[in-house]
Amino acid sequence: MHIDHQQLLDLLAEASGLDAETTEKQLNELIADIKQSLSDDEAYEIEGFGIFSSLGNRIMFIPSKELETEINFKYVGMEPIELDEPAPSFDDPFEGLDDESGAEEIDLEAKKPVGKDLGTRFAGLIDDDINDPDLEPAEDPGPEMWGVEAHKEDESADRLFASLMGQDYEKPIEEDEGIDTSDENEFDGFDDVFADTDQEEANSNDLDAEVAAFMGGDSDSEENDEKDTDELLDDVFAEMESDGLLNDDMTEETLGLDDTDAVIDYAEVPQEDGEDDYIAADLNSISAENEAEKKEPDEEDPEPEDNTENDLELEKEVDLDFEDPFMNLEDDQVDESVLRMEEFDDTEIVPVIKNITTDDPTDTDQKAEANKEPEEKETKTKKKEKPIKASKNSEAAPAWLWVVLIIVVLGGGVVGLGYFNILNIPFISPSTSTVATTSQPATPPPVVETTPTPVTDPVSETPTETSQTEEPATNQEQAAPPVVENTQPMQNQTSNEAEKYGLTGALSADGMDGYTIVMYSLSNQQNALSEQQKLQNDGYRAIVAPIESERYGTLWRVSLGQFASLFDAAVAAEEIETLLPDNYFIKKIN
Amino acid sequence: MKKEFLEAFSVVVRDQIIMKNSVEISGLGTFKAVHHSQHQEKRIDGKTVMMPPRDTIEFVAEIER
Repeated sequence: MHIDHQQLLDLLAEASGLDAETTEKQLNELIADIKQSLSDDEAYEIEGFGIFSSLGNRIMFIPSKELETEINFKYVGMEPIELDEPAPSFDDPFEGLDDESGAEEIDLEAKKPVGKDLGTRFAGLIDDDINDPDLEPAEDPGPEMWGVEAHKEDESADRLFASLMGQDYEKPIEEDEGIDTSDENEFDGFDDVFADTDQEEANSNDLDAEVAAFMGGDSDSEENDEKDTDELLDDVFAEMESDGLLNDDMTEETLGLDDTDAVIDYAEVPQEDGEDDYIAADLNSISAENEAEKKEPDEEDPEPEDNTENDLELEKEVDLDFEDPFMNLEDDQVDESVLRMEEFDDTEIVPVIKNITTDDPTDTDQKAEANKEPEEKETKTKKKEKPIKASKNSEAAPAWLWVVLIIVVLGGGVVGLGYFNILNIPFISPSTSTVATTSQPATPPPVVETTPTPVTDPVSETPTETSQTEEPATNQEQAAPPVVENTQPMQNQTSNEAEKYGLTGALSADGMDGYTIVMYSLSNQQNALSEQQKLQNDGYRAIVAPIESERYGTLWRVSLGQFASLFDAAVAAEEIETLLPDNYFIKKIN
Repeated sequence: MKKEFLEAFSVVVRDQIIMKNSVEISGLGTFKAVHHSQHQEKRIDGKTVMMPPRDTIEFVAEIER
């Protein structure tokens, strides 16, 4: 409906209580005011109603909150309803990640102090750095620089390295103390030492980033060091000393005898940490080894006899080539920055060599430790590595589990198929027995009385009996009806298994739990039976049931059909309404 | 302009709008009720929300400034 101007005036007059003339005047005044303010580029607000404003040439009306609320009073209380399950919140997964990272960080911190002593002391001496480049690839300015990196990108290679590492650690101890591996160790040690010194000198260094990367690697190596036994450290020293070239320098530096910054740092750290025992042990071992090995001063580039078997001798040679810059570094520390790049390469190459050179199958424990250590490193530094490692560990076991699982499932499936007669499996498929049991209920109960045949043979009347298999059952049931009729008329129906429920056909014993349409209740059994006969002749399922009534004695209730539900019965009754008396009703049979 | 008139004006227009009537103010424009039926809305955070029905008042200006 549209309220035009005149209607509006009437309404306004009525609402305001003013007379029509005043109202019209007021309204015109209002319109004029609004137009005026709009033309002045101002908005015009009617309190409690809204704001007339102009946007360009258009005039807009912005309803006030009150007005908006009031015209929506019908919908008050209706709030937006979220239909979906809240999508997996982004926060949670991130939180989980944060937690993990936090935990990892905590682990690192917790382990650092322990390993710090050894790590700072022996970081250079030990090959732990092998894994370091892997750990912090992102930080490294030039990952390409790292020769090892290429090897390690391959995971299998990585594992190989780790396993080899575990073996490597012990071999030098037991067998080859003075062999070439020591050279490599020395290089690593120097690199680490320099890295440490660089760390302190980092501010002035051009390669701060690389240093930082190294430092991270050192920390990891420190963790490895934790697990290494003292013997390992000793061995490393031994190896160091074994090399004639570096014996003096390295030993002195490690012992804190040297004046270089790096040496001092190393010496100080362990002492502060209170690992004097290690130092003493190291010193002893070193001294002993020195005495023994100084006899062979020219072992700078010894070809390890034990290691001749290794395929990677070439790499060893490469490492040996790197020795020269190293020597230069010792001589001239001015070249540190320049050589550092090469040093990195050395460190990476060195681990490779070590792995090859030293294989100690005897010690499984240290192997395990070595394997663990790289994993820990990787997990701490690289989250990506974590799942891989986990899967690696879990891969082996599940294989047979899967086989067992598959067998169980298949077996279960086959048995199930057999049980349900889909497959005929002796002892499992119950086909014969079930058939027998199901057919049994159809057989009639013992005949108590035989009565005249008004009940008739449903077989002859029912058109639905098509299958021969059912005939014997129905024949048996024929005998039953008379029995039932006399004693319990409820059971006088013959069962037609094909149709448990229905309006037409033979009565089914199974259908006696359903509903039926009651047509008559007769006091005379003969009349009831004749009615039933008539209905059955017409092809309907007719039931005659006695009803005990106090007032009328026994009544014989004639009803039609067997139906699964009240609804079905009602539908059927609708269809045959003409046949039924007006006062028919639907009742449960039993 | 009297206060009663303004109040009456607000009330009359509001009531007519609630009754889904459009109110014409000659020389200014027409107020109409617009019904927004219940509808689903996808929010930025991915949640789908069933918005309740809502009536709004719409003003069609008869004049241009």
